Formats: sequence, structure tokens, C-alpha cells
Amino acid sequence: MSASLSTLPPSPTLGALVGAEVAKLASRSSVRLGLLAVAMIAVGVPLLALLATQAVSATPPAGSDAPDPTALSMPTVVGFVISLRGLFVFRATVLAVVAVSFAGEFVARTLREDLVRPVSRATVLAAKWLALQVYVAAGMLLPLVLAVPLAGVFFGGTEGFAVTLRSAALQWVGDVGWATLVMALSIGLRSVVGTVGGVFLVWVLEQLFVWAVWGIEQLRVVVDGVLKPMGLDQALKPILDGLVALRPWMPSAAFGLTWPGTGETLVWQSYAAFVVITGASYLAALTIFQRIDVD
Amino acid sequence: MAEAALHVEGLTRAYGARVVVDDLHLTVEQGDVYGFLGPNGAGKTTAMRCMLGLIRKDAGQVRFFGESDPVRARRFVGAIIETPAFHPWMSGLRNLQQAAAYAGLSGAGARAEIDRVLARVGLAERARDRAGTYSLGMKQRLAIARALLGGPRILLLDEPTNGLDPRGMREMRELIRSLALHDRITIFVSSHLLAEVQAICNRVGIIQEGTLRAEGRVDALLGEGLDVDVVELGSPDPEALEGIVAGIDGADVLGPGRSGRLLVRVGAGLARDAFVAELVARGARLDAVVPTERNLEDVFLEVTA
Repeated sequence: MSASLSTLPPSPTLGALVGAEVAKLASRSSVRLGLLAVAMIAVGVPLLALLATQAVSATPPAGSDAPDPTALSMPTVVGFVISLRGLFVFRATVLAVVAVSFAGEFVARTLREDLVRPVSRATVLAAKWLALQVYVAAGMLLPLVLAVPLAGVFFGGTEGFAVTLRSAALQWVGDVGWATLVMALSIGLRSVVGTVGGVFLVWVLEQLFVWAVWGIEQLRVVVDGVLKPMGLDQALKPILDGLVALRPWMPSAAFGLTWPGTGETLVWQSYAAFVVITGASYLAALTIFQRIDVD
Repeated sequence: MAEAALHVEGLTRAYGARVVVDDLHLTVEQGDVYGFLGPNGAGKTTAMRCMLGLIRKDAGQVRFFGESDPVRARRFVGAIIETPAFHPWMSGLRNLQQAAAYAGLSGAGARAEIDRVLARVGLAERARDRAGTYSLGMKQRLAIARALLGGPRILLLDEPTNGLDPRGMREMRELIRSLALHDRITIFVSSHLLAEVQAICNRVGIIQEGTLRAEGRVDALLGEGLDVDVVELGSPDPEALEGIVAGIDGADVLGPGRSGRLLVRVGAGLARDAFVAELVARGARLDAVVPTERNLEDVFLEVTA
């Protein structure tokens, strides 16, 4: 009896593994619910906008300076859809999907069955990450595919559509980074509850910090006024300036979450922060994934 | 000479200060049905996980068919480690399709291979049912089917009969035997069930405290102890009998035997008839003296004593 590698199937390709992981994700109820949620937003917002428009048109306002309800256009309504989707709705579903498909597979020990196969852990992680990104992309494409024709039929118009698409693209890029960060946490914690709790904790702490910095920035005159009599205004100035300068580097700015109180465009620091946070998250996930013992 | 199906050299793994697998050496030849035995906590599962690369090893080398690169080596291997895990919401078929992708199978080849392994384990008719609805025995068979995807040359099975009812255990035993005989797959199986191992294995290794204590052909290991006699003694007063046996040099009480009898090992240098005569002389009341055949359990108890 003899054995040689030539008579055995080859090691799987990354493409084949991504296909298998996408098929598995598609069968998960958390993925279906996530896509259903964004689909409902995509269909519901244009319908509600139409109903609201008709209601307002039926009872014309008395004042001549009242807003014209018919001023709604397809790009505006699609913009509402994208904004509503971006209010943590889709990212909450990404969190759920990551928790069950990374930490959940550790806990259920189904990951073990993949790792006894002739494939490196780096390839397994890449396949799972790419499959997750397919979900993230679907989570943006689906509402666009549903909302654009619907809003087009209801309201018409294309002016400003490029801006709407750019905002959708930025949100999608942010989703890519968000999914990667959550994946790293999920692999590091290896607990479904821990993933959700950990992400929530990180998010709350980050938001507290962001709001505190925003508060400092907005009330800088008041803060300086309080510190000056104590002779601390000059001593603390570099620290306060540094904290304010951190603002565009924070994950919420990097992943495109709305900056409190502003609609300002992203600055280069936020793009850099996106690359750094996303890259560091993937590298951390890979390092942990390659070293951990799998029961 | 053909490469060994599995060759383990100096495998070591510690958790902190506790060394669970300690300089383990073993060799499984092609065509072997190798029983990997050891008491609870002996390091069997840890050793098997190290062999498969599921957990890191601190030292040592593992080669399957001469291949030491873990990824390439796993192309030779199918494995079931402890309780097999499936995606319960997916059908058995979908679970196998997932595994087939990871085994490097695709397209028509994958479909044919899945059909083959389903037929091999007798699950073709239930393949479209959700895996979560399967009985434990069916899950074990599905796990075997999954391990067979890609035509492995060696199967690593960790306690494959755990939790099965007697019928399931028998089916699993016959399946393993058939895979070795008809599919010519080398089998490496860990088990607590020594009778099972004796029935299906041609070679065994006994591990204790992470170290291999004995290894060899089953018939050779059984033959090694032929100078030792094991008998069952029946008595209306077993407690008194136990005390008398304990007082005789060269005789040890192993524990309870069948039908309330006492299992006694009579060591080398003490003939069975002389032993019985000594018992009677010391006032033992005997109503049965039943010679027993030496089995793997005796070997196991001696090695791990």
C-alpha cells in the first residue's frame, strides 16, 4: 500500500472557501433578518414619504412660505434611506452576524471541523472575512436596488444623486472597517455574549470620549475662562488641543458615523484612521486566529 | 519500506506547569487499526489535537505518510475529535457540501463524493433532513461521512462510540472494521472501551500521564502476560475470601468479577492449583473457581497500575 499527494484532492482555493462561507452565511437567520431590516427601510421610507406628501398635498398650508412637499426627489428619499440604515441599524446586524459566525463557531466547535482540513488558518480567516464583506456589500446594494426605482417612480428627479451615491459608498466603506473591528473583537473574546457586550462597551466609551471632546471644543471659551483664574489655561492648552485634534482619528469618524452636531465632510485624518484601525483589526484577528488552541 | 501512516516523535504539550503530553513517540503503520488507550486525563485527546494542528505543540514532530507540513499532511487525514459538531439548521447534505469545499472538492466531483460517503455510512435517505434532528448515532455516521470526504488514507477517531447505545456501538464498530478492511484506510482510534478496541484493533498504544507506556500488537501484548493467571472466585462469604486472598503472596484482588465473584490475579511462580489449595488451607469457603482469559483490560490495568 502506498500513498501520495497526487492521488488526493488538492487543497481548496480561497475562492471555493469564500463560496462555501457565503452559502453558509446566506443560510443563517441573523443574515436574513439583517437583510430584511434594510429592505424594509428601503421600501418603507419611500412609501412613508409618499403617504406624507399626499397627506400634506390634500391639506395645503395657509402660509405661502411653507415648504413645498413635492420638493422631495428620488435622491433625497434615497438619502433618507441611507441615513436611516446608517443609524446603527445595519451595523447592529453586522455585530449579530459576526458574533454568531466567529465567536459562535468557536463555541459550537464547528470551526474545529474546518481546521482539520488541508487549509491554513490564514486562508480560513480570509475566506470568512471576505464572506462577511459580501454580506456587508449586500447590505448596501439591496436598499439601493429597492429604494432607487421605488423613489424614482414616486418622486422622480436625479439632481444630487451623485452626492447620495457618494454618501452610500462612504457608509459602505465604513461598514467594511466596522465589520473588521468587530471580527477582531469576536475572535479575541471567543464568546457571543462577550462580543456583543465588548463592542457595546467599546462603542459607549468611544462615544463618551467623542462627546466629551466635542463639549470641550464647543465650550472652549468657557473652559478657558474657568481655568485661567487657576493659572491652568496655558498648562492645559496642549492637552485640550491634542484631545480636540484626536477627533477625526476616532473610530466613529473613521467608520463614517455622524459626527455630533455637524455634517462636515471627512478629513484625511479620518481616512488614515480608517486604514489604520481596519488594518490593525485584521492583523490582530489574524495573529490571534493563528495562535489560539481550538478545542 | 512504506512510510508510516502516522509517526509521532517527541510530541510535548504543557498547559502552564502541567505537562499533558510528555515526549510522546508512536508509530502507526499503513493498514493498522491502532487503538490509542489511556485512563481519563492521560492526554489522548490533547495528543490527537496536537497531531491535527488544532492546538499548538511545544515540541516534537508529527508526520502523516512522511509529510510533516501540517497543511499538506492533513490532505491524508480524516478526523473526528470528541463529539462531532454540525450546523444544526443545515441539512446533513449541506453540512457535507460545506466540508467538501474545505476538503478541496468542487462541482460534479464533490457531488459524487458526497453521494459515495452518504451511501457508505447508510445516511442517503436522511441526507436532506436538518442535522439538528439527527440522533446521536446518525450524527456519528454523518461525522464519519464528513471525515471520509476526499478519500483520506488515515482516520483519526476520538472516542467514536461515546454516548451510543449498544446497537449504535455495534454499527460503528462494524463500520470501522469495514473501512479498514474494504476501503483500506488506516485507523487510529482512541477509546475507553477496551473490549471494543480488542475486537477491532491489531495494534494498541497505552498512554498514561502523557507518555506512551506500552505499544505493540494486541496478540503480542496479550501473550506477554501468559505467566499471569486471572481467575474468578465464588464464595458465600466474599469479604472473608478477599481478606484471605490479600494475605497470600503473589495474589492480588483486581475487583468484582461476574455474578458477584471476585476477580483475582495469580502472579508468576504461583500455580493455580497450589493457590486454590492454599485458599482452602486458610479456611476459604469456595463455591466456584473460574479461569478467565487474559484480555486487553488486564494488560491495560497492569500497564496503568
